[in-house]
Amino acid sequence: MAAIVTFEARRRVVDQLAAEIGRCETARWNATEGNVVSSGCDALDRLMPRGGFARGSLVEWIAGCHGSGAMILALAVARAACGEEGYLAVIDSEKTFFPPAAAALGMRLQNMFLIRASRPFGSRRHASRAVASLTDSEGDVLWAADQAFRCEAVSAVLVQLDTLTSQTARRWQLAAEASRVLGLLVRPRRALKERAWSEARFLVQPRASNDNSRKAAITLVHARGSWGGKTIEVSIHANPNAKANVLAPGESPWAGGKLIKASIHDESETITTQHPPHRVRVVPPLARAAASA
Amino acid sequence: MPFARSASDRCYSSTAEPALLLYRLGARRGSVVVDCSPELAGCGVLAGMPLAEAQSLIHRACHGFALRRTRVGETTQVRHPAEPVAPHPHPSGATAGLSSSALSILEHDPTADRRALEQLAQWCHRFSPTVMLAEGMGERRQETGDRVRSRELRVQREARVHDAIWLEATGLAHLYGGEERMLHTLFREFRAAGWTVHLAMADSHAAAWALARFRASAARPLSTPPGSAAEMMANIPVEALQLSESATETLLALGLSELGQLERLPRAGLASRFGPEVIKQLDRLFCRRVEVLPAVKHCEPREAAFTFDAPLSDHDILLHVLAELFAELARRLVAERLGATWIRVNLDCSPAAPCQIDLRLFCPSAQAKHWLELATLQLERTRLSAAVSATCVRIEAVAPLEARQRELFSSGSRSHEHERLIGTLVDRLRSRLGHDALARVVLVPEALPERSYRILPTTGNRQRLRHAIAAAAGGALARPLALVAPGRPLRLTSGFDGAPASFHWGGTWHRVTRTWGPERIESGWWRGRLVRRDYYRVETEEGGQAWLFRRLDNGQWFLQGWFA
Repeated sequence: MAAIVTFEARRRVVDQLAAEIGRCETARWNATEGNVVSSGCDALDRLMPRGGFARGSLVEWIAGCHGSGAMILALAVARAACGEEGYLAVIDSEKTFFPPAAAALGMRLQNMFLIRASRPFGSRRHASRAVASLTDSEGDVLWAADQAFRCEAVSAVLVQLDTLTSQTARRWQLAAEASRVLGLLVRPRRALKERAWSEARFLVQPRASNDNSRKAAITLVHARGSWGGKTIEVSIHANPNAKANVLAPGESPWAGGKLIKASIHDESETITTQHPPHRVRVVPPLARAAASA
Repeated sequence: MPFARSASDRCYSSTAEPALLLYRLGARRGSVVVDCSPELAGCGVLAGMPLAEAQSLIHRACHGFALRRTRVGETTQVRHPAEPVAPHPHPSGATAGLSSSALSILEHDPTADRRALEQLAQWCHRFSPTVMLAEGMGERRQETGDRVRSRELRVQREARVHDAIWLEATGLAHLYGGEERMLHTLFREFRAAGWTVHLAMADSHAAAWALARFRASAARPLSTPPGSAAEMMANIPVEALQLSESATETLLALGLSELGQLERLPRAGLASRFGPEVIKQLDRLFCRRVEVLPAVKHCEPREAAFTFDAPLSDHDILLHVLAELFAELARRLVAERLGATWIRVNLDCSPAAPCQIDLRLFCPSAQAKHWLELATLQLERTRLSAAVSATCVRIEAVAPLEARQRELFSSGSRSHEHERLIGTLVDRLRSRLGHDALARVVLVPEALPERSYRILPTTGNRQRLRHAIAAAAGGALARPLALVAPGRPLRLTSGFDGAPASFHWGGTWHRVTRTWGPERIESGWWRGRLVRRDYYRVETEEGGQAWLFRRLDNGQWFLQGWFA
């Protein structure tokens, strides 16, 4: 019994320490009303340390494989961030974004800009010093996203990209913080090997479904101020109760849990990456004393 | 005695230009023809006709002439194929010119048409101090309202009325050596400028328009001696009255096909049978009723230029000069309470080709600093072929500046400050990435996925974009967010029922564990070449979902998208 009490006490202390570290990591966050966007899915919101998606932050959605549904989830959060009047900027450099599907998911197309930086790839290097190592096309995409992140009138920016340098991510982070834009980055699985600069990083792995819905396991790989490794399982439904198959502009695809049902799957399940996002080197006191001596 | 000149200019220029067909998207009948070049009219193409029918007529008239469709931004162009096509041994006169030139099929843009006509009216001020245009099309539409049964024919008639320019010629003939000489001088000048016009001179605006439309030819202007317009009008068809379709059909059914026949009938009977509109129009055409048309205000060209002492290749100095020119133009615009929406910067790089930079603005602006920022963004990406010897900034389009009172407390709704910020973002993105790089989307009721939406240029006009689309089977998850258009060919194995069993993508084989479908999608017959596909939504063993289709004409499989 005593051992159990010790374990519980230790667990409590560790949780308190985690909360303290989380507060330190997110100290700059201004906890005013409207700063946190609820995705509409309680379980997903609970994964985030602030109970939702904070405006002025970057959130990465890592697609576990082709057709995983990561973009659907990111768009649903963007839809919630935009509300009725907010603007969504979609950086569609590959020209693959399909607006009718976004409209069917409840996105208001009149509030959506499609940015297609489509200059052909060339050997000419970019003139700007910040993106000097990139080609014109890549530089244009990053520049366009940077401009969208800096615009206060934009509510959310949806970017689909493969590689992201630390420098660019930091620039975007600062721009998003200044303008309170929610950045949603949809990235392939190999991005797990990169260091995470975002507020949160989710891994979306599809699951087989028995009905017409989509199922996916969402794992919080990394989040500032929270433990990573939590996994929930969500199912996305095609709104069978609606009269029309297309969502009304004001209707959230997450509303009332009709479309997406989530449940805590298994908190012990963790995702191991080759390069953990936060690798802290802990030096034991004895070694520290020896080094100082 | 007032003389009016009607320069009814249908804008087909020389025969070296491609034959032109304008269409618009109708609400019920799909794409319909709005207007076309004379050579196409010779093939039997009529305004109001479905576009597919017009294409079929052109195809038949050119005897196997293959049409190739390419989408260029918002326009659709049909051009000659690259491979030579054997000409018909006996081409008709109407189609001979067509088969020797390209054919362009463009979506009709009434706003651009009107703007071009206003620019031409400004150019006409060199002939007369008073140049007039008919009123805007929107007002005309309200006026005609429900009286017109056929929407297509109404559009056709409006286009005819509103593509005319009137020049007041009273007291000007002696400057040219007489009316005939004046008319021929105008004709020569229009031809030299590349316009093909129908010119006529008469005693009233309506008579001049009717003669230009129904009597004058593109080869020879028509002049009527003073006071003789009534005789000339006798043979004009009753369509010149611009009555409703039903009224015109009734007149024709009664055998009244010319204005002279109507003029001989008792006026009281005409009014009781066809309404007072007939009498009003007859009075206008026979110069018994004074008509007032709005004159086009002559405005000085808004441009500023600077010539360097020596050719210059330093960007900083060039930007400094541009800043000065922008500031000067902005001052002039502010005095007029106008804002620029389109600025053109010409850089003279002689002896090399000149360089041109277009600044198109999201909303009217009179801020030189903003213009300079956009010009800098474009100049960064522009390679000048030689040093700049002179520069000229010209404001091509303006709009009234919107003045709003500042709000003390910001309201909960979207504020005007947000609109301004969005405008700034759009301007910056378009200046750097090009005008096509930023777009808004509107959905169109088309079954084929790649045609189910249209890209619209971003402008300050708040358009009502349609949100709802035709209900798709399967609901919100029936279409993928990542579309591969027009589809990538796949290596695929199918089961006994024809559904996909596995497919090869990205260097690996993906085994299909579940399929939904097939969902058959076909293009409409009015779209030309028939497209028939069977779509399958498949789930791979990894759990990812893809959208595949099989072409029914050759059985080939394609990947259309991922439910990313």
